[in-house]
Amino acid sequence: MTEEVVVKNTPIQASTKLWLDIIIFIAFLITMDPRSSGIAIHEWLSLAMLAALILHLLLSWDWIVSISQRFMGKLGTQNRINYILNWLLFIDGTLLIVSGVLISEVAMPFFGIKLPEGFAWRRLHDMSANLGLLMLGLHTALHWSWIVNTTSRYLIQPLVRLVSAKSKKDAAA
Amino acid sequence: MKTLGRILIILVVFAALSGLMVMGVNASGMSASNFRGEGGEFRPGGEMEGGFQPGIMPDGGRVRPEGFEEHGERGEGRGGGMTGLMFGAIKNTFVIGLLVVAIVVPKNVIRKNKKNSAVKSALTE
Repeated sequence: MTEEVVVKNTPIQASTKLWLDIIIFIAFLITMDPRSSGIAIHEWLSLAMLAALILHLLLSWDWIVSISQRFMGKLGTQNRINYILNWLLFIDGTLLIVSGVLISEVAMPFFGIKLPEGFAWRRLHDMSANLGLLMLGLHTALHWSWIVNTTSRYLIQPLVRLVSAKSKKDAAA
Repeated sequence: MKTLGRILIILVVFAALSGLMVMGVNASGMSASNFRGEGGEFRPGGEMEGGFQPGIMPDGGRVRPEGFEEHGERGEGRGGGMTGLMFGAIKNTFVIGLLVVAIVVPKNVIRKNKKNSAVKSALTE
């Protein structure tokens, strides 16, 4: 008998996580197109995303610890797939950041660090970015029910409540 | 303190993976500046005829792997600006959306079928 691990978040944690994920998603879309955004925005935004990703991991820490402890034992298929995919995403993200730092043209020279040109890192950067897009899609798909529920609870419902309260106020006036 | 410890763990794992990746790429010899990615061509070190250096064009520019000349350097050449950014964002969102639909829809169908068969078997009992 396998068991699914469900880690309950407080409302503040859940809404913080939702807003953080929205910010990471938008930043990811901008950084995925350096030709349009410009290399400076691409590099600085990517470095800023590193902090956001650490925060994302911290907010999911209980789940990570819980699954790490049970991984070799009884564990539901979805949690197992999720855990493996998250590790692959972390490895891909690391490759993306490392290769990005090694081919940096703006951020690293700003800190006075000049690294030798490496075409392999350039290719690895492109490859890991494309792979990251696919894995982000899978990550989103596996968390779809959480995304729908949390968006509804912390974004749509408060908005609907706000609009209905305003229309009631207008009708009363 | 607990949070700092967790951040440290994340950074240590990140640093360990980074080190392994750099070591792996360096060991495979791919990180040399004259690596062209195809594995076929290798430019020997030292100065070449006419005082040219490996990986450096006669005009001082660097040699790029195939494809870079066409599309320009990262962030340069193509322009695009806001329209390009919007197009890229829509394209990437579409790819993610496609994956979400490809996984979520069959999952929901399977769940519904399971539920229906459970209800049916309960009714027949």
